[in-house]
Amino acid sequence: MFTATLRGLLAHRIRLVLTALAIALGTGFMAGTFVFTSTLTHSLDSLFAQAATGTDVIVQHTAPQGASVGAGSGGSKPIPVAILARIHALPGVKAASGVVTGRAVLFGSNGKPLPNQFAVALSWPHGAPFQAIFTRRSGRPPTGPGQVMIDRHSAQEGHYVVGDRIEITVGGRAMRFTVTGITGYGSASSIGGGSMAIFDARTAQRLFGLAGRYSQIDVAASQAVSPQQLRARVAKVLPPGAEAVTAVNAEASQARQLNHQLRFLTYFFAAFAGVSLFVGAFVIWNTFSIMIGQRIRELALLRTLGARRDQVFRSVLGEAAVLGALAAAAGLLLGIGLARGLAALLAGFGVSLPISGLSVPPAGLAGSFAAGVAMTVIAAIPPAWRATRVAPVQALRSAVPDPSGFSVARLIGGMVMTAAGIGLLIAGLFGHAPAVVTAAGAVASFLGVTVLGPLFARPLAFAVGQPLIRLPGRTGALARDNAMRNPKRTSATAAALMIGLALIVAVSVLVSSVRSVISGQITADAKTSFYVQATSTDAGITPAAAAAIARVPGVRQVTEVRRTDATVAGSAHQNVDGVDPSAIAAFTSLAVRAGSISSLNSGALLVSKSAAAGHHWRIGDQVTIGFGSYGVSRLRIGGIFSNPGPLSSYLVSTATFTADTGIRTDNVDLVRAPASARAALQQALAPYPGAQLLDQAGYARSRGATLGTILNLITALLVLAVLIALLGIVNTLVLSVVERTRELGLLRAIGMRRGQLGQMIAAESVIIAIIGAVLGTALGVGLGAALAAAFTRSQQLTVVIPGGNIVIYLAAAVLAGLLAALAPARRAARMNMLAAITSE
Amino acid sequence: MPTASAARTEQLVKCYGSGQSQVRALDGVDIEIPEGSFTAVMGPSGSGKSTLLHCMAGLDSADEGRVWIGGEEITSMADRRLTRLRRDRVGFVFQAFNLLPVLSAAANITLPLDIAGRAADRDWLATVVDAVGLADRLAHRPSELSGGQQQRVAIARALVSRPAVVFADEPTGNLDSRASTEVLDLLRYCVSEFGQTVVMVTHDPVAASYSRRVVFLADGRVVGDLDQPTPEGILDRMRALGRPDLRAEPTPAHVHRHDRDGELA
Repeated sequence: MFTATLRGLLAHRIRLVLTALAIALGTGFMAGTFVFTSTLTHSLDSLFAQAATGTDVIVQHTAPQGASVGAGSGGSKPIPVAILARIHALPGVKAASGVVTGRAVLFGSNGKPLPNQFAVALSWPHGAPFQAIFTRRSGRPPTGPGQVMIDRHSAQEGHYVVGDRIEITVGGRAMRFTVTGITGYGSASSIGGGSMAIFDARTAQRLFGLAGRYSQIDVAASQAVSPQQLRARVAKVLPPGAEAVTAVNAEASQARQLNHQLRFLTYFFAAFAGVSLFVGAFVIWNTFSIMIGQRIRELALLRTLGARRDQVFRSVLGEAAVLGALAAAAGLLLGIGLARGLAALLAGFGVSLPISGLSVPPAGLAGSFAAGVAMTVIAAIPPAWRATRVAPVQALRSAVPDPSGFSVARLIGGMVMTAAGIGLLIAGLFGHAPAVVTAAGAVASFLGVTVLGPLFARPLAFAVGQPLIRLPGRTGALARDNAMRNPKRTSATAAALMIGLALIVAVSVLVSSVRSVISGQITADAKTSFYVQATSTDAGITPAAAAAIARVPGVRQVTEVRRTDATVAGSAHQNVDGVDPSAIAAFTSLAVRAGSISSLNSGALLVSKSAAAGHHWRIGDQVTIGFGSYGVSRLRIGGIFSNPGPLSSYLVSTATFTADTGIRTDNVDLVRAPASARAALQQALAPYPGAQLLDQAGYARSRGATLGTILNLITALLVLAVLIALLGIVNTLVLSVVERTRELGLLRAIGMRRGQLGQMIAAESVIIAIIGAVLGTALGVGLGAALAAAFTRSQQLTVVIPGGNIVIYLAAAVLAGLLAALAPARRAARMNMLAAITSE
Repeated sequence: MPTASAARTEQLVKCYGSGQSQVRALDGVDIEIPEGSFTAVMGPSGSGKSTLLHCMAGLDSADEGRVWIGGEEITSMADRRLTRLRRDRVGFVFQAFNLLPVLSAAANITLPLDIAGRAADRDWLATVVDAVGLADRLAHRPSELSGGQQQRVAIARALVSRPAVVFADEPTGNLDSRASTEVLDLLRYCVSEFGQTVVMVTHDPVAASYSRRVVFLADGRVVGDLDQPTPEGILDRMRALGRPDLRAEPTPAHVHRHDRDGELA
């Protein structure tokens, strides 16, 4: 039996390759996700290890309970310089150096920021052990104000040599420095793909507002002392609020925390890999169904010769398992390449991560392989079961009537499944059910529609094909007839495309709706006329810019808004804004429902009505906010407002903000001025390349731009699923071409040109693609509307259907259909007409 | 009065395979099909009769020699012109009917015109449909028709573009004797009523006896012919062909070109 299985596989190499590709892509995506995150983890580990080169003990501000590295934008709390002298005095200390870190963006000689993944600034350490990581140096380290050492990579990118003048922005303000030295970092020419600006300690303290303080102190032990012993000694001389940790521990915990935070990337990518596998399963299911249909005589013959039903079942599943294993193995190789692609994709969307080397996680690869094989075998179960239903007598019958696809059981089953899916979806979105319920609802509705598919595939094909019947030579009409003759096949082929497109459309609807809410909020209240926004959120804008704006003639009022990423009551990545309590009301009407804005002055927190509703908060409640590694604050709610306008859902006073986050730069300055002041504002901002002047519409657009980026990223990730669906169309068409060899041969014999034959197959492909696109769009609009309603109902329930995008998706589907027809059409045109007619 | 030929071959050679295993399926065939004639091509299995039909109809290319259809030489034609010639000048009837299952009988009949983007000549279409006797079955799909009915649809399809020649390849091979008789009567009716030229390949002496002339093929050569054949006469010749010692000396077919007028007289 098994030999028959293998023969079956090898006899049809093209369809083997196409089907395998559908599995390989999904498996490869999944494997790529694991390779990517493993490589990222590895890269971060080695980056942290490098950063601690030569350091045995690190002295830092005591990490707050529950604080996490990297979550906030503020970095850790600084410690007083006086500690350094005490450490120096300890026995067993070989070297100790205060370190200041911050953000500084390097500009090229062309006046544009260097395209680096990120930009770090640090102070030149004292002591040979700490300097060892700075390799292949030329020139000399900075020793005073106006001097900087930069990394080799940036020097190459910006065409700088020692002695050149370079523009660097700190807090968005441009400053010029002399390049006194150029350095590598370990074996690399830069720090994990980021740029480095190295100042002397005093200059760095001045630039980052850390006079008299260090970000941390690095300590190296002499040979007689172990890091643990030294740590104990150092700890004894530290004032309260500072702690000593061994470098090894610090590295490990930093890496652990950062990796923990980046785990969401794994989930994010794995979700899309799952979608790809799901779509791939459709292709497998459909391909196997068609193959079983074509092999009915062969199967019946096996049964006639005495094969049992379970042997037939196992034979088909065995074929699927072998195919799945081959394809999944190929997918693993593909995944290793894809991992780099994912990093490049993220970088293309502005999410840069320090990726270096390649780390292949055996467990992740094994899991991906298993998922690929399992998906293939599961998808082959229904066709395999159908194969067991083949009666021996069917070996003797020549033709099998086309199944119409209609059955009451199908109708009821499909409706029940769709209804259950919609129910779960609504429960998941509007109830308090976990996200997995929403996902299950989406999957169930997709499956439900797929079950119903054959019922409306015929009328849909009829309607979609209507414009095509005008094609000369009857090619369009024949294509439509062909698409209608086997509704099960047509609908299964279209279903794969439907899923990918539904998700794209749903995300598109969601993003358009949320974007509309944001821009509605910003433009609803027209008190602010200009927004000066930081081009780099990390680097921010120095308060000096706000002062400069205030001096511009015509400007009535300016206020600074600081912003950070924080963990509010356990939910990560929430924006918290620092605002001036006395001024903010002049720029936006917050519409305070309870409490008061002035409560901000006493260190209270203002929350938006939607946030308060979500958490069931009332005035006076305490809210825990984690500001990254800087600290954790417990703030009392002093007011609830209903209209955030351009601000976030959580507001504190500037004083509270700076004290709790350490951030001294603004995210955006709000300006009240007549439109005529634009030119003067532009001029006043000339020294601040890191600040950009926007009007209301521009600011609304820029706030929505992030969402647009996310939409594009998700679309890009779903394109793979669409690609797999297209492979499914190619596969179906190739199988149909083989199946209809005689018909195609006849058409050629009675005078159809090769081109017309190709046109006919392309038309059939386009019909299938449009059916998938239409169903996908309908499902996607429904799903997207539900998502949008759930997301926006706390503010203003908004559902925006992006018509332009949908038209583009539909056009792309038509184009994709044409593309999918290329190979099958070529195959049909090349077919030996004579063999086609005479073949029995 | 000399008649024009509907189809003609000259020293036609067709080989399959190469080297030692090469088979000369057609080994210098000269044959002429006069307009309005009904010719049957017979021969034992492997004699090359189907290959001859395929080459004459422009379905297969010749290795040597030349083929004309209605005065046009097709051996030198590129695929596009040849396709067009098949569409406009040649009709086909196959053993397996080869109808498109998705199309109704009517749509199957007009398919060659549809492919050409031409409207059907209504009178001619009505005449053809009437001749094949399927006026009441036009809306049916092939799967709803009997074998004989399907073959009659195929004949109507072959006639609809008024081709120079209709080539029929074992048209009764898949039919029972009653349906076979119907189909053969129909073919003969097309010749006598419409003046349609028909070339039919068959191995059945009874089927061949419906033609006005039988051309015998053996080993890729024309080995004789028989005018006004009867089943018995054909059977005798076939028996002789099965035994090489009794086989007559090959005679060029054109020598035996029969005179249509004389025959009708």
